[in-house]
Amino acid sequence: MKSISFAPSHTMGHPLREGAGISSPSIPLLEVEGLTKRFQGVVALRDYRLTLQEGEILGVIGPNGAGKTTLINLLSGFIRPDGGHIRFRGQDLTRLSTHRIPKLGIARTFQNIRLFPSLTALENVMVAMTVHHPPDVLSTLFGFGPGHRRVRMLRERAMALLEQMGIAHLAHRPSSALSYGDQRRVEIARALALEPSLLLLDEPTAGLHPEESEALIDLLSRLHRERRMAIVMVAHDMPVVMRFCPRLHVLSSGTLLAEGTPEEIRNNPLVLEAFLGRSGRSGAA
Amino acid sequence: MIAPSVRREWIWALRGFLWLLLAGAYLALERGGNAYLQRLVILFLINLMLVVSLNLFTGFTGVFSLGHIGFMALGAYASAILTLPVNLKAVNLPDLPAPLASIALPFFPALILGGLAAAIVALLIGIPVLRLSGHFVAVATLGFLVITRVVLINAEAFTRGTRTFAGVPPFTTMGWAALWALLNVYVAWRLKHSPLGLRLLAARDDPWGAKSVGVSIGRMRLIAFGISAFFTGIAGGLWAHFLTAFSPNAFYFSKTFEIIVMMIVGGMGSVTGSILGTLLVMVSTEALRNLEPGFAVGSLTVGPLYGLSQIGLAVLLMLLMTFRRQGLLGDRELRLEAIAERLERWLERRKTAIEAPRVRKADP
Ligand SMILES: Nc1ncnc2c1ncn2[C@@H]1O[C@H](COP(=O)(O)OP(=O)(O)O)[C@@H](O)[C@H]1O
Ligand SMILES: [Mg+2]
Repeated sequence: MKSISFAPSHTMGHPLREGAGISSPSIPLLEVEGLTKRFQGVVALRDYRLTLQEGEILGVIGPNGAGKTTLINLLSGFIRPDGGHIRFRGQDLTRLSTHRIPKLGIARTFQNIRLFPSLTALENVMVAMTVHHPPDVLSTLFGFGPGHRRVRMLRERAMALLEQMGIAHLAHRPSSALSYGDQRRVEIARALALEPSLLLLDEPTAGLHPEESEALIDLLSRLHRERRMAIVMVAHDMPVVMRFCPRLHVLSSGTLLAEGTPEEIRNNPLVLEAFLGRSGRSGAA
Repeated sequence: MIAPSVRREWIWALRGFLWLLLAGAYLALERGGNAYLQRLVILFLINLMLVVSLNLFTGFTGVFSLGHIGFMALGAYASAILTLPVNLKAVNLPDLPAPLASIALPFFPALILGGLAAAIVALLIGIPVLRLSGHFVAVATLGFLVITRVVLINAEAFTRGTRTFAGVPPFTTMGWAALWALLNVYVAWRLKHSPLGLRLLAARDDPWGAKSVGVSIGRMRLIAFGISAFFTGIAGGLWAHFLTAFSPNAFYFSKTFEIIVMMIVGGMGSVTGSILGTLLVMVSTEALRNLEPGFAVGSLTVGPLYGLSQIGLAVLLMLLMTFRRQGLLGDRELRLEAIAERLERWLERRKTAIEAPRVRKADP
């Protein structure tokens, strides 16, 4: 089993980000073993493994169709694996309903942004806040009194998140009327509203101008420093990944091709062949 | 979007004016005693409940229900069986089981029980059916409508089968209807504008996005379905105690069609739209109905045109689908805040226009 040789080398000291490993927990935040997913004969992900500590950042790169989105969908419970385990703080996720996963502290964004178009930016974030503050009869039936105070509290917290994302001035716009970049920010704010300890980002910089993605990555770095959640970020954009992620996984045709620091990955002949030989950097879309 | 510039006084003034207008109209009708108009208003309030409730499910979850009139039938028969005087039961429903045969409940508890019966049935069929994807739910609820009719026709001991169920006490006054309609509109409005409503709309807008923030699509639909069926059942009860005699035929396709047109005209997902849609459709069908016996335009005489109001409804629906698919309001609401803002801006513009006629208009 590959995972046996893998686990010790990992616990011995992986390049964690500053301060992220203060407490060294006995169980890792996320443990994935033998994860496999097939779609009508196509193996989208094969025997994937991963151990992630609290607060750690992992970048996942690979050409189109490598299985990156499939990995995010599996980790967030949107699809069920054909084999393998996903343990989050020791709890097996593979049998849970999708909508139960966010409450455990796992949040995600989508490659093709999925906001609620008829709600405002603020309301999009407020929806996510109801996970930890579920709607009760009072707040549903009465627009005043204690129910209203609860709603105001949700609204204020959602507003603070939009402020952190730098889009407080757009709070009352319908989310469908926002620019692509602003929609991305709303989606990330919505994910953060779940107060996640694991944030899964599927190509957060796709479709952004270089300056926009720079700014977004700066923002994510700051958020990570403040909140210390672990992040798995899927990306095409090599400079972005190299800057943000101290540790990388390279996927190709559903298999984990290589693993290491950005420096190691850059010089890995296997990776060079898979990336530059086949689709090249222009394969990014 | 409430612009902070709008003065609260405006909104309160408008709100007060509107309530006074409604109360005045109500009192005038109540005292004036025009029976035709009173009946029309009661029918409007009952239709309004049916439309708002259907919209509360279909508009807020994005899933079409073709079976809601089945819930109306359940509420109507259940409450009517409960209030029917004991001596009439002995004559009309001789085979009614013992506890039901010897009781006659007051109006309010009978209505509530009718609503609850509809809600419980909704939850029972909702649990298996609402997991299906949208179109299949529509087909399944249509199945429910057909089954309800068959059951009503065959449960002769309770319903007299296809024969008219008559002798229901005429309990439904304008006051009862207004009270329930108000409550129904209020609940629908709150549901849309509360945290629970945010979840409902999220599940409708993007199921995947909703799941990613912990919203269970099935549970959201079930909550809306249950509340919707409850008020539809109450509306059925009000309707039964308004007409006092009816048969299973009343609760079938033509009523289903009527309610759906009203909802679509107003806008799916809009509470205030439901009010407008119900009003518009009722006024136009009522006008057409008055033409049905035939009419004269100048020297031209038109003979009887039975079915004109139904054709009118169908044409209205086709025109809407062609030119304004979202209905009058889409899923937006007619808000006093927005009206006050417009009013204020209009007054402002008048003022500047008077003071300095050459000044360029401010951007809207
Ligand atoms: N729902 C699905 N049904 C069928 N095939 C799928 C589905 N999702 C992904 N695949 C296939 O799985 C492979 C991996 O896809 P994906 O995870 O989206 O790749 P990436 O995100 O790395 O571009 C592709 O071959 C894709 O066609
Ligand atoms: Mg992808």
